Amino acid sequence: MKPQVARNAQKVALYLLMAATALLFLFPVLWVFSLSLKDVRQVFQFPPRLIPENPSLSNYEFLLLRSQIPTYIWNSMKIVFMTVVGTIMVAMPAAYSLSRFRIPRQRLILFLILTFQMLSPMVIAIPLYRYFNELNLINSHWGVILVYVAWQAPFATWVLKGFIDSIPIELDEAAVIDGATRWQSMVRVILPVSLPGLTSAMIMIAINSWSQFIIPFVLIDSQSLMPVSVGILNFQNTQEAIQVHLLAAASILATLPALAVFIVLQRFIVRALTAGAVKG
Amino acid sequence: MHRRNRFSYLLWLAPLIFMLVVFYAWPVIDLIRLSFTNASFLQPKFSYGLGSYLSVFRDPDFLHTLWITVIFVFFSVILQIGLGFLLALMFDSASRQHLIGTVAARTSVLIGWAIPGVIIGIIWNLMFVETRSGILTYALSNMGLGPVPFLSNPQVALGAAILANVWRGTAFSMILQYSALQTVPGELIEAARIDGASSTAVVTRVIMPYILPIIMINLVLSTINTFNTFDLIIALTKGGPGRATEVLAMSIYNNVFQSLSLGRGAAIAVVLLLLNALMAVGYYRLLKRQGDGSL
Amino acid sequence: MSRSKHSLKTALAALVTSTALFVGATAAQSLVTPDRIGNPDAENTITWAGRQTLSHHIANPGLAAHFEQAFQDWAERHPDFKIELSIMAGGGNEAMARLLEQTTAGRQPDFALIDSFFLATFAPYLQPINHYLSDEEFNDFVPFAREGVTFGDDIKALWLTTDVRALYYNTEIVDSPPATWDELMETGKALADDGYVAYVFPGGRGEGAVMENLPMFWSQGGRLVDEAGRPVFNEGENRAAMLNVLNFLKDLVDEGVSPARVTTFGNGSDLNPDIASGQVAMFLGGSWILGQLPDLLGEEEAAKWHYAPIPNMSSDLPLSTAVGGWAVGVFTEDAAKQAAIVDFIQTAYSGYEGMAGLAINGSLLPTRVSVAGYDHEYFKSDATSGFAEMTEYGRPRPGATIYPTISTELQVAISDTISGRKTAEDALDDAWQRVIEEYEAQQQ
Repeated sequence: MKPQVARNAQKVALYLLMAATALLFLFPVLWVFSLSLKDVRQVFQFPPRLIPENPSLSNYEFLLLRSQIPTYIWNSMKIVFMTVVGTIMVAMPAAYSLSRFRIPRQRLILFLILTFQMLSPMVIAIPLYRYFNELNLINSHWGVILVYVAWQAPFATWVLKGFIDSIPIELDEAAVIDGATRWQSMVRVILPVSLPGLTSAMIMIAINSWSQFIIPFVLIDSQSLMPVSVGILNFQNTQEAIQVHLLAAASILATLPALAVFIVLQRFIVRALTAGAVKG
Repeated sequence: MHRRNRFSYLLWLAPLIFMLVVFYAWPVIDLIRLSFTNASFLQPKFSYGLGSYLSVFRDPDFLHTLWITVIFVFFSVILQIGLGFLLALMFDSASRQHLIGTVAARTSVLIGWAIPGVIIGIIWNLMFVETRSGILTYALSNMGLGPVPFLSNPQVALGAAILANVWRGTAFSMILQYSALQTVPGELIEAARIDGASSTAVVTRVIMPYILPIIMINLVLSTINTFNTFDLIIALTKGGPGRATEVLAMSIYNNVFQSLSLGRGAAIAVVLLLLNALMAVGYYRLLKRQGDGSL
Repeated sequence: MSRSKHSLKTALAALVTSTALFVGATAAQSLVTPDRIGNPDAENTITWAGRQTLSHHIANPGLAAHFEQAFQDWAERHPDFKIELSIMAGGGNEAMARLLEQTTAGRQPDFALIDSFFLATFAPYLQPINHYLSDEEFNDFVPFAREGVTFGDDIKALWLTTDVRALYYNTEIVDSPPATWDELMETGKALADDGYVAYVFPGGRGEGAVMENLPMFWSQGGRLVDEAGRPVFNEGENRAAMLNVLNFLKDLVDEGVSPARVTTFGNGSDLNPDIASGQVAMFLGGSWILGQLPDLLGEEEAAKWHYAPIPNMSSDLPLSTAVGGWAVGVFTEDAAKQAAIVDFIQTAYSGYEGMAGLAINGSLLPTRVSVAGYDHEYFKSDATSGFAEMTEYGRPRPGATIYPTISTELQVAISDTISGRKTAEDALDDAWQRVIEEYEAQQQ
């Protein structure tokens, strides 16, 4: 057993390290938050101050009342919601069948499904642009949602399969004995039991979708349809008006929903991130 | 009892396969087709040929772009995984001792993952302001260090991009390895301790080998993600100064939307595609080697 | 208590008045919404691809009010039409690239804002609007604004406002503005020794870096393309002139006159942090910046800044500057829509009143001779008239379809040269190679 002093010293060291880590990772966000409370002159002031002289929420007021930010955020929410629904609808049956059925060449199929996850959205965005242009799916939330679902489905399938694998097959068999079809057994038995796993997957899909940039950047031209991840670039340095202070506030606003979900539901996320990889 | 149709599984997989074929496979095929044309936004007509590829490979800056991408990926990944590992150890130790604030500190690292990449680029672009009103410049000058050309010097700008990317990506590495650490059997560590191993030895001889499979998976996934990075770069530097931070994905975008050349952009995208495919094969091999039944 | 009764009455009165105003305002406002202008029940719909900064979406309150009023007026005159506005996202090139893609695919809007140097690229798809303008009306525009929109006998667009680039200097720090490169270098070095940031300019990835430094190339007689639109900037004297500019920019940084971070300045607005710091003595900027200086520096400091023509390589060379600006072109062939559209553009942007409002509120320069005499202090100020004089020798960017590629490659060349990654010769040759390849690909 280590002597008490050494153990306490180690504890202190750990506290210090954790504090330093938290500071390093939080500081950039705090700085941008600080910028968001300043007006144009204060933003460029020397010496720069972390705590503004006259902090004010006027940038936020402007953004929320007189800019398109609320539209962007609403667009993001719409897209993310439909993506989550769509992805689960596609991935759940696939995951169930891969887990419960004996499928020929299962390994290969799983591998192929996974390969799609490895492809950069940039690689498909350019041809999709031309192709959607002809189908008149440019500037359409549905077009974007469909691509998002295709993009997230492989990973979701894999994660969900991992969770379903861990559910004992006896449950399915019990349902079958009671006369249920496969489909009913999935919906009535497996779905409720895998709810934690499902929640983790949904949160992951939501956060990934909220952050997605390339696909909407290429597929949406019209400003009023943009999700916030793309719309925010409009605040970065334009000729006709100085907007740095607004950019900072917009950055905070754009991050808040994802951050809120994340902090509150961290547990599920940690679980989802590790489920596939750690379990194998 | 139910009749099991030999092909019923297809119905279950059908939606997934449909989505993947229509929205992934088909565009990829179209991309390859486009790369063999000289299509451009300037006119609807185009012709087939190797022109775009020739133009790309003859371009003096193409090799440079590849090299930049490799450096960016290499250092980002090494640093993310290394830092992720150290932080995982730290949080693991702290949580075992039930130190207060562990979860809060851990969460602060994880915000890098929750924030959209494009906003991370914006945040760091604001951090790296080089005039004296920039916070980092100010902090450095207080320590007596001269102004650093964060984004205006080609080499430093690449370093800045790597820093921002590491800030973003450490979260994923840390959480992956943290979970892996939870699976290390306590007895193994006890046994090593009893044998008189120092803490460092415990880490390097017992823990690391045990979670090596996870580290490898982490390596591949991080590499793939970093290779495809675009949003961070376009918000941070747009590929500049010059082409110093123009990674592959950025180059594709610039060719298509700035130079208006679809053919060239597609050719470069095919290169990215091949690299992605190579890494996917590597990933598959890795998983197979782990020889578990779930795959 | 009588006092509380009194304040209750006041409050009530205020409530009633503000409600009335609000109702009245919303009734009028309903003709102009973020993405629709005009009567929502109108039969005819016109689609418009606009820009945030040239519409009522802009953050600048004066300009936003100008647009709202103009749009309102138009909507009342045309109850049969409504305009559906879709804001084009992204900077100049990206927005134009997407518009181009839509156009070549046959999905273009009825009319759109087009960056002036893209006019030649869009010309084949734009409809002539000659018959909506009288000769007198059209001749009111300055020469480059007329030439830039005329293709053959057809007038294909209307040039809105314009801007010029100049050398800004702080009169408190700089006695007399340098007129040649040598003077700039000399003055700059002395100022740098005194601890100032002597001179900043855009030298990075952005259209600004090319557009603002091109005048120094043009005044030497350099040309980017020939009459047929073929690139010639690396041939003969043009090459020498370009190398002079590249090497001069590099020298400015090497000698400490300009900071290395100019390679991160792609556009004029990237200079803002430096200008706001108060340490800058001179900078290369657009005419619109003069109106923004009070926001950045406060009235007092802003008043110290004046401007002068861009320094030339030697004093015998002619003065030169670049003029830019946006234009509006019509795609639809429907005559009734065309008439409504032209009226719309004239009301808000290019007519006598429209252009005046745009210029005054956005610190922009008119392209109509008559507007320069508009009765408003903006036009009477020395600042504006000085800039207006510059438009007389200002040159627009060449309207060749290869220009966007030239610009991109020159941006890279400029920042590579300044940062030292390549010599000016190599950077220019590399840029040339890519431009020529692209040009030849476009000719097929």
